[in-house]
Amino acid sequence: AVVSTQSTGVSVRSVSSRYRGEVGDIVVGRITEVQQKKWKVDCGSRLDCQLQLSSVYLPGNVLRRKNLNDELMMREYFSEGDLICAEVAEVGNLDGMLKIHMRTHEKYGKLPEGLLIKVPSVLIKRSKLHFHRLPCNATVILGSNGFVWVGPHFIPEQPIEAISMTLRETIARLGNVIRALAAYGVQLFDTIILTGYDISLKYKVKELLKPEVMEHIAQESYEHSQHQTL
Amino acid sequence: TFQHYFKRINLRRNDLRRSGLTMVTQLSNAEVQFIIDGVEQDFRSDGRAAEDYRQIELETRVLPNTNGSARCKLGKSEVLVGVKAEVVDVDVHAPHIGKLMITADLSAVASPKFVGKGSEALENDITNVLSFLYNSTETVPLKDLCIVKGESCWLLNIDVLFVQCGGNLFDVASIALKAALYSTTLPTVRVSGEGIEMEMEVSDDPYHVWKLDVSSCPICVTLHQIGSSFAVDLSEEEVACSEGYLHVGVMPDGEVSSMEKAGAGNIDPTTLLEMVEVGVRVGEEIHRQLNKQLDAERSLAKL
Repeated sequence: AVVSTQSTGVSVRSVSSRYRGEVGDIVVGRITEVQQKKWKVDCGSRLDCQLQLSSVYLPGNVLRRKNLNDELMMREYFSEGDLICAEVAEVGNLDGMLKIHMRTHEKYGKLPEGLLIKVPSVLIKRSKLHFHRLPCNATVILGSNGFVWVGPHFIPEQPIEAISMTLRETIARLGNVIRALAAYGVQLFDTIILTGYDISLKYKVKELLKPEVMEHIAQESYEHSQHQTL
Repeated sequence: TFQHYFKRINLRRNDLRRSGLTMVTQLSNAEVQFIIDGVEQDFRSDGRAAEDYRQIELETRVLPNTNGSARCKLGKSEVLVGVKAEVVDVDVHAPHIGKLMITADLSAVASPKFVGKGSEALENDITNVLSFLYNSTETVPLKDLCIVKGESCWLLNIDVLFVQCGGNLFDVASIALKAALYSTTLPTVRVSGEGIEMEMEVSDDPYHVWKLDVSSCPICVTLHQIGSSFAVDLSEEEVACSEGYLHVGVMPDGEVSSMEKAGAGNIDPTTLLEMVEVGVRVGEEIHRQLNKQLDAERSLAKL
């Protein structure tokens, strides 16, 4: 459980609860359906999110009123199964259904080759930045819904170059570190992931799957981050 | 070429969704490409090579009402195997050997898909693969299970229960099966008299038991074809990118006891031979580790 003290009392959020969105959250989701003028996106919440056609940028960084042609070409932009990164615009009053949109062109959009890891949404600390370009040549997107994406640096809509072996190792290593931290209930944010990455360098990437190694990394990263805050 | 591959994988989605072989049935083309490239370069998404298994956790003698049992965990998959023995009449066609009956059961606890009849297809698949694995008389010494030739023998009812499904169900079931058979103890039977006056006395003494010889028991190694390469012990995301797969039954000495190709998709003949080779190599190593751990557990229990 994640415990935080507030002025009025103590707030406890259980690890196994579903994601409850708030306006301004950055989420990583998977397109499940293509409907008329909107896409349905799975964000790990009780209901699928809605992504309206009117709130996406068209290829070429164009934001304009969408016409009939665009409606017919919806599947060309995002089709079922695609991973996207977007921001929560609205939370439905009655049912809590989220409406997501892509506000700028630089970060939101379809995600290219990479790794998706699902962690409990409660472990993603809300911060100003969720989209991290790490110095080790990889990008980590910490979706507030618990969907964490690890992959190469990219700009949406632009093709990425082939992933080299070193980059592939980095991505796999980051993925295993994130899984290790999540398995031990450690809150995730960019510095702790980098700390975990540095600690993990003495092991081979596949050794990070062993429970004792995962525990060691989670423990040391947590202690390191506690020291830093002090 | 990737476009054709994506089309084929997408057509398999319904097949996968219905069968329950993997819970992950939707992946983006980008993720599929990442996984395929990884397998082809022998470096998968979690850093494993194509021949690496995930951590296996094993415990025997977990069910007190059985003759033998084991619990095995591989990745997220968890399976419970129980062996119960009963005395039955021999089969007319095979009067000198005992019998094995293997049944697989997918618990609804593992997935809501397995409620009611939803699990039937996959259960039949697993039952058939495991039964085929133990089909030969050279695997379990069925002669030892015969009590009176032509009359009575032991029937081992083996129940395989899947508590959690996280990929690679066949392999984890076969490992747990071998461990359960290793821990199986059968009561000694005293036969006196002949013909009509024959009397069989099954001993009640808990220490008057004998153990099965599992030195030839095989395990199943499943190899999936992904892209132009293949891998063992796939995670659920990787299964969603694979086409055909091959079950190889490997005995501890490296002999192949059975082989079965499954799944939608073809396997190139040269790749098939390579897969069998790798399957045997991986299987032998698993047997070595498994035997070592089982012997260590037995010596701890001093049984």
